Amino acid sequence: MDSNVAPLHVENVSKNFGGLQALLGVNLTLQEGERRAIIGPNGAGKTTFFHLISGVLTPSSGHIHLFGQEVTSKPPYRRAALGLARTFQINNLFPNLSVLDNIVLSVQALEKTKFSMFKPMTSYRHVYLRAEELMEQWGLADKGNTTVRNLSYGDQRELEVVMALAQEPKLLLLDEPTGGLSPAETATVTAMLSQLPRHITVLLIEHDMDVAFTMADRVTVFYMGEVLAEGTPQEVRENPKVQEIYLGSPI
Amino acid sequence: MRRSFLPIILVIAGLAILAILPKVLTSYYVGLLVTVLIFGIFALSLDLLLGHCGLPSLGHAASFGTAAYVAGFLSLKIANNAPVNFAAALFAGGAVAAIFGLLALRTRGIYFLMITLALSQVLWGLAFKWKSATGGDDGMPGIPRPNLSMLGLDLTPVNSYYYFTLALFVLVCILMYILIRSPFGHSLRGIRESESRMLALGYNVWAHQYVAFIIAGLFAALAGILYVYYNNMVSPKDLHLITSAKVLLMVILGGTGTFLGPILGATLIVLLENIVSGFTERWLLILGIIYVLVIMLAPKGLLGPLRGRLRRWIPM
Repeated sequence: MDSNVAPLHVENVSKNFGGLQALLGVNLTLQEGERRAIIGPNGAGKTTFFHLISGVLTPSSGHIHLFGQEVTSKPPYRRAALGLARTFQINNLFPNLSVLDNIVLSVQALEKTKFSMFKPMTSYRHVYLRAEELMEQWGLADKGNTTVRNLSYGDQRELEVVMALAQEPKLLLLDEPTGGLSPAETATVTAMLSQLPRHITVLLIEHDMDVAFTMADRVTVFYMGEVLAEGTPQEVRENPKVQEIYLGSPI
Repeated sequence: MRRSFLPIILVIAGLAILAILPKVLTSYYVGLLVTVLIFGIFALSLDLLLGHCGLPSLGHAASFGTAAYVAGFLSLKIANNAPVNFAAALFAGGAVAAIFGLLALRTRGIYFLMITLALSQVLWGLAFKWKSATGGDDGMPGIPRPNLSMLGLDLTPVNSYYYFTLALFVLVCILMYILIRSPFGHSLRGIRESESRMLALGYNVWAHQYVAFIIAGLFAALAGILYVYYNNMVSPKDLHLITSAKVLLMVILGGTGTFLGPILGATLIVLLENIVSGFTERWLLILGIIYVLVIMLAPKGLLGPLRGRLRRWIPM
């Protein structure tokens, strides 16, 4: 069965919060290297779906496999160890630490030495070199010593993505990476995302249609907790149901 | 980063002053200094939780008092065998932290505060009621100083006990400094800033917090041991909320996560408590006023305004 090697295989997953049915019988499989966008109106269950994949929440029923391994009820840090990284819809950084320290914590996350209590952090040169390399690569080089809470919102949004990339993920979940950004900043982040190497599989929640349709190989449409449609950007754009509920009446 | 010798010079000067002080002070003040050093260790241990993990424990006296009781009980009722009693008391203090940590770390914020408070009050109740073992409300008086005659040390004079405490205080400072600079210490501050991000990055947040909780308990236990041997007695108040709250105030007053802050806070509160109380019974009123002033003028503690400058030497 080829879904065993799929980076992500979600099987009939449902989630309810008390009486509220947030997700109902969702199936989704990603191929290696695929760029998939999830779109849908507010409250469609997109972020809940991300929380289930990353392990913040556990599904009420159904199964989630990462790289062929069942992770349905595994904690988030175990999933990260399998090669999963995510960003958050609302910036989730370390606001009182410097940009460098933020990235260092990301780089260090999968090092075996992270529990070490004796040698100073700064003696792990390779961690710092890797962090500096990432800052160089993504245009944060001159901001290393800035405390994160003093960064502009756009830079924080960018750091949000760099933190995830620092984990060297095989599967990257991006929760509205351009949310709240100006058109110019959106262009920067979109350019950054399109540069991502193809061995990283990307699952993206996006409200900005242009970003979603340019970035993605395939698009999945969520509506009221269910998958309404799935296909290439072209197919989804032409789907009358999607046009009706999401893009408004056909032009 | 420019290398500066200033902090090294300051540390050496500080140590020199601490070493000379007993020669020029009366034994009453040397005794006060011993108390300052002990509460300095205690406050540093709590700051590992509050300042670096963001865990506000209101039951930190549990490890402190348990270790004090165990050391006192063994020395008084069994044998004054210092190494064994030290080890047993440290173990007891760490074990209390290991058990309470399992329960308390299921909660966060105000709930963490309440559960640590409740758990430590259970031990206070035990010490208060279990008269045959603990002496009840009277506590256990007449506990001898640790017997280190095999090392050629007589800790009975207050000056000797002062140097003994100072040596352990310096050791704790060094260990704590190494710990907060380590990858583990960095991870703790990441957890303080955002648990959900640390989980997503691949850190086992609970394991980090649990280990830190036990380490903090061990350091608090050491303070408790030094405290019981210095005072020659232990009583239920050493396990009480008042003791937990006092050390919490020390940390907040001095500035959480600033390393020097908790030590400064401990110094101020111990001196206030002992010197001001000589003039007026209402020393708590004065402490209250100081506390309100600090909260209004320097809400991040006395060393809060220096954070930016201290950060070059002290990870926070």
